[in-house]
Amino acid sequence: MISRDLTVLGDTTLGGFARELQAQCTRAALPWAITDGGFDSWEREIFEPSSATRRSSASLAFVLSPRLLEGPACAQLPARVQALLGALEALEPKRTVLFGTVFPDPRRVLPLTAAPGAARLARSVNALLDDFCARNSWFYLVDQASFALEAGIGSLNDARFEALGSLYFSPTGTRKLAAVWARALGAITHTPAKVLVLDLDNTLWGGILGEDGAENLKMGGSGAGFFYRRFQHGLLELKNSGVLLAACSKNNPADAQAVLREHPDCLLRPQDFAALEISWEPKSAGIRRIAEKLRLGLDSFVFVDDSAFERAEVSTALPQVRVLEFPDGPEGLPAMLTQCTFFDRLRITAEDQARSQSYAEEAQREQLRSSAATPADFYRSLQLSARIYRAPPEDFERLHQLIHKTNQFNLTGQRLSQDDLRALLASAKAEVFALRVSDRFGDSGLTGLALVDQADGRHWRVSNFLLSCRIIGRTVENAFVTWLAARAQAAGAESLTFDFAVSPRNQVAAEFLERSGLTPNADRSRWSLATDRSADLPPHYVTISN
Amino acid sequence: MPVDEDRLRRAVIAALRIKPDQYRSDLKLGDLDEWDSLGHLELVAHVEKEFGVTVALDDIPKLSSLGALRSHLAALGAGG
Repeated sequence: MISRDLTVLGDTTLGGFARELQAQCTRAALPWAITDGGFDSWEREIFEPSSATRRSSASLAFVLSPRLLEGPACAQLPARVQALLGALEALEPKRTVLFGTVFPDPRRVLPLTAAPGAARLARSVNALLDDFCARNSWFYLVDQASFALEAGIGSLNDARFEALGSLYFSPTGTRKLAAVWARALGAITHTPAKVLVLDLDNTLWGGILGEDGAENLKMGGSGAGFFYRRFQHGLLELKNSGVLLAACSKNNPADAQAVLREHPDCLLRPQDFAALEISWEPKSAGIRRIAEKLRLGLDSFVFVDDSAFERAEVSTALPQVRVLEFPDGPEGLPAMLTQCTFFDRLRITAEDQARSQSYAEEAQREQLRSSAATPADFYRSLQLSARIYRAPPEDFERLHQLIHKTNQFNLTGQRLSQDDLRALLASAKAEVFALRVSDRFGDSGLTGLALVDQADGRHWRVSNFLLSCRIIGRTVENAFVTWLAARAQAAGAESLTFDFAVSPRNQVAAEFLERSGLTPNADRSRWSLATDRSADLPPHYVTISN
Repeated sequence: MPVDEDRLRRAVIAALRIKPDQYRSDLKLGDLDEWDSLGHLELVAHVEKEFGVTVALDDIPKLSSLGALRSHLAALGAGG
C-alpha cells in the first residue's frame, strides 16, 4: 500500500508549503499527513543513511525550485538528479515518490541567451525524470512546469520573501502550487471514475436536433460551435486515457445516430461510445442500462447534462452517480473538463489506453453470441488464443492493478501490497503466471494471473487466481486451470490446489469452482486436482502458447 | 486613522492558521508556535493582501508585533 505519510523535500524553505498542502488535503478529506523534510533537504535526506527520511517509510515529494537552474554550478543539475534517482531506486523497500518537474525562472540578465539556456537545462532534467518514471511504477511526476506556465512565474515568486527566508515560492505562490500537489495526491488516493455519460442536445453539440434539424447543430466553425468542438476534443482525450464515453439522450434514436455517424463537424463517432442510450425514457433508466451493459458500478459514473431537470432527476434516482455542474454558456465547457478531478490519473497504462477499444470489441462478441446456435459454436468461432507465461518484472504495474481492481473473479480477494508482489516475482519458491487473451475481435491484453506457491514441490498451491471480468465466460478460465495442471505435472508435482475465500463480490469465482472439475475440502476453502487427472477438467476452446 | 481591527484579526488568523481564541490584540513574533520566522512572512503577505499595501524589504523584519504592524499600516495610510 502507498504510505499516506508524505515528506516534502526541496532546495528552498518549504515549511509553508508543507503546512498549506496539509491544510488543502484536510479540506479535501484526503487522508495524508504532510511533513517538511527541512531546508535544502532534497539530496541530504536521501544520501545520508541515518536521515529521518531514510528511517521513516513515508512517501516522498520532491519540490525543486528554479534556483537550481541558475548559478555557476547549474550545469551539474542533471548529474545530481541522476544520482538522486539512482539512490531512490536503491532504497528497499521502495518508496512512493512524487517528483515535481522543474522549470526555469526566465527573468534573467541577458534574457535572450540566459533564459533559453535555463530552459534547455530544465528540459534535460525533465527528460531524465520522464524516462525514470516510465521504468518505475512507484515513481510519479507532478507537472509543475506546466503549472508555472499557467500561473506565471511572477505570481509565484516574491524576491522580498526569498531574500528574508529562502522562500522561492511566495505565500501566494505556495497556495497555488499546493493546489496542484493536492490534486496529484487526490489522483493517487482515489480510484478514477470509469464512465462519462453525456447528454447530446446543447451538451455535445449546440442546438436541439428535433427542433433545429441536424444541419443547424453547432459543433464546429466559429462562434459557439468552436467551444462544442473543443469540448469534443477534450472528450476524445479522456477516452484515450481510459475513460469510457456513453451518450444518454432524449431523441429519436435513428436521428441522433445519424448525426453521430454522418455530421461533418462531429468529432465523436458511434464507435467512440461504449454505449448509446437514446430514447424518451427517464435518464436514470438509461444510465442504469448502460451500467448493466458495461458491467460497471454506478459509483464509477459521471453524468453531464445542460438541463437542470435531468441533472436533478439523475441525482435523485441514482445518488451514486456524480453529476457535474454545468457552465452558463458553451465557453465554459472545456474548463468543466479540465477542472473535473474525477478522472484524474498520474499515470496512464497501456490497458487504460486500450479500454474503449476493448469494450467496442465486446459488443461485437455479444452480437456473435446471440447468433450462434450453441455455446461451443460461439467459442469456436471466436478463435480464442491465450499466452500463459511466467510474468517478468515489466508486467508489475498491470499485475498490481489487476490484483487491486478485480473483484468478481478473484478466488481469495487477497490484495497483495506492491512489496509483496515484487517479492513474489523475485522468489525462487513461487511463480506468478500471467495470462494474455486474444480472439478474432481483438487483444484483451494481460487479463489474468495465478500466484503459485511451490515451496512444496510435490503440491503446488495457487494462493490466488484471478481473471478480469472482461474475459470470463469464454472457457479461458478452464484453459488456464488445464495449463497450470500440465505445468505442475511437468515439474513433478502431484497435486494442484486453489485457495478460496468468500468475499462480498466474488460470487462469480464461487460459481466457477462449482463447475471447475476441482474437488473441494470440507469447508470448501481449498479446491484440488491430481495433476494426472486433468482429462477430467471441463473442455475449453482456447489455443494456448507460452 | 486607526486600523480596522476586524480585518487585522482576520488576516492574522488566516495567515498563522490559528483558532480564533488564540488571537490576542497584543500578539508578537514568538508568542505562538505558528508565529515563527516563516509564519511571519505568511503574516506579512496576508496583511499586504488584506490592506492592499506593500511593505518594504527592510520593514518586514521590524513588524514583529501587532502593535508595530498597526502603526506601520497607519503610516502607509491603510487604516480603514
